Amino acid sequence: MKINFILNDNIVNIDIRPDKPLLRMLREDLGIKSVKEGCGRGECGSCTVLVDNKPVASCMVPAGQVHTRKVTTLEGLESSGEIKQIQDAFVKSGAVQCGFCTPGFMISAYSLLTGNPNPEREEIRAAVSGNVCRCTGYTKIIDAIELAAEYIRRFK
Amino acid sequence: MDYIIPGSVREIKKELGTRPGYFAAGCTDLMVLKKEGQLEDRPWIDISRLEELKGIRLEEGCLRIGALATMAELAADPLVKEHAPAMAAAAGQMGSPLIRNLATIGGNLSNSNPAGDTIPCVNALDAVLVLQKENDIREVPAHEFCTAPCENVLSQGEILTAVRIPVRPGKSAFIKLGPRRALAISKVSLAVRWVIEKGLIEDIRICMGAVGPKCMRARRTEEMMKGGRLNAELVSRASHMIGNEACPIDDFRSSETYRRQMLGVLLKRVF
Repeated sequence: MKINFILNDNIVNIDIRPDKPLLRMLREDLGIKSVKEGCGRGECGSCTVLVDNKPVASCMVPAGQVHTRKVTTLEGLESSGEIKQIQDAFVKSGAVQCGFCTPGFMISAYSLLTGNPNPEREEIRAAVSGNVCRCTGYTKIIDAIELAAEYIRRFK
Repeated sequence: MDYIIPGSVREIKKELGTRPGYFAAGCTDLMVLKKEGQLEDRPWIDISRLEELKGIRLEEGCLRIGALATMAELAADPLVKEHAPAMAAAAGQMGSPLIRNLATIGGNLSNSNPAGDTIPCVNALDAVLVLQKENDIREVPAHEFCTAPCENVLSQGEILTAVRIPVRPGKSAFIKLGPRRALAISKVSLAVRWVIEKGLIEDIRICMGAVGPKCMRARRTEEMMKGGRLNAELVSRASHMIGNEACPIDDFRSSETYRRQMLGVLLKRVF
């Protein structure tokens, strides 16, 4: 099936099997490697992307459904000030272990902080609840997002 | 593969003919089944763009929820929060934010999984489900929709288009128990709607999820509570009764005994 959609501000035209997960299309056909496959069944959040500005698990989205929509990955947010602040806060807080889940956490954090610049800790926990799976060290990630909120407020 | 994008609900049957198909809306169950290799070679019907299935609004004394309303939309919608708080609560706890932005009420109901959290809600709220095939539209009371685990009254080529919840006085609540707060499939769930008149319980409906082959009502507990004063003593009596009204199974998610016990605990938490 031929589809076209906006990927990180660029128009993409591609002939793709419509039931292929968006995650696989991004990685295998479009070279977007920030999007990771952890569980492939919607439970780990490593594949989080924005579709029409909402965070979703891209393993759950069939490619056919992104036709005419807007898909944003971490690569597309590189130039945004917010992502730089979130990155800095993750580094400063030591919120990265192996880093596999980090892009997903950053997209969820970005989505939270663009809508709610001053979240409570509980709101941060809820916002990343789809990214938490079975590692440890989540406290530092919550700390990092709290710090990122502070950086972004100061930066604006 | 055959991937059909119908232009309207009316066209679905014609596009499918006599073939069974898979409806693709939020896809949060469909993609898991696909990954597990559990799907047969059937056409997919992508209904995710059908405007007629979208929207949440008040209509003829009912709250009308389109089948494509996502869990995130239900949880945040002011009309749902006001007229169907049980539904808003159930939707807000389902999956995770990444799932709630995709998963739809139509999908949760049509899969008819005994642990589906919107099912006790539509039962407690006395909703009517609107089904359509070609030009034929029928309305089915929520309690008649599911027939067995993962089975319902939908016929081939027919889809659920909307849920109509009567706007009535009273309160409603939903509460569930799972192994963790996010991404937990219910071990036990409860949706309750009640009306207090002059300090007494005038009407109450208690619907239990994940403790039987389909959603069950705790009718004896309801009868006992009706007419009573809603206080700690009454709730305590009810919480001892309710466990006997379910028929839960032992499975990998929980045991029968635990589920019966927890029904009482959840009922206390509702009030």
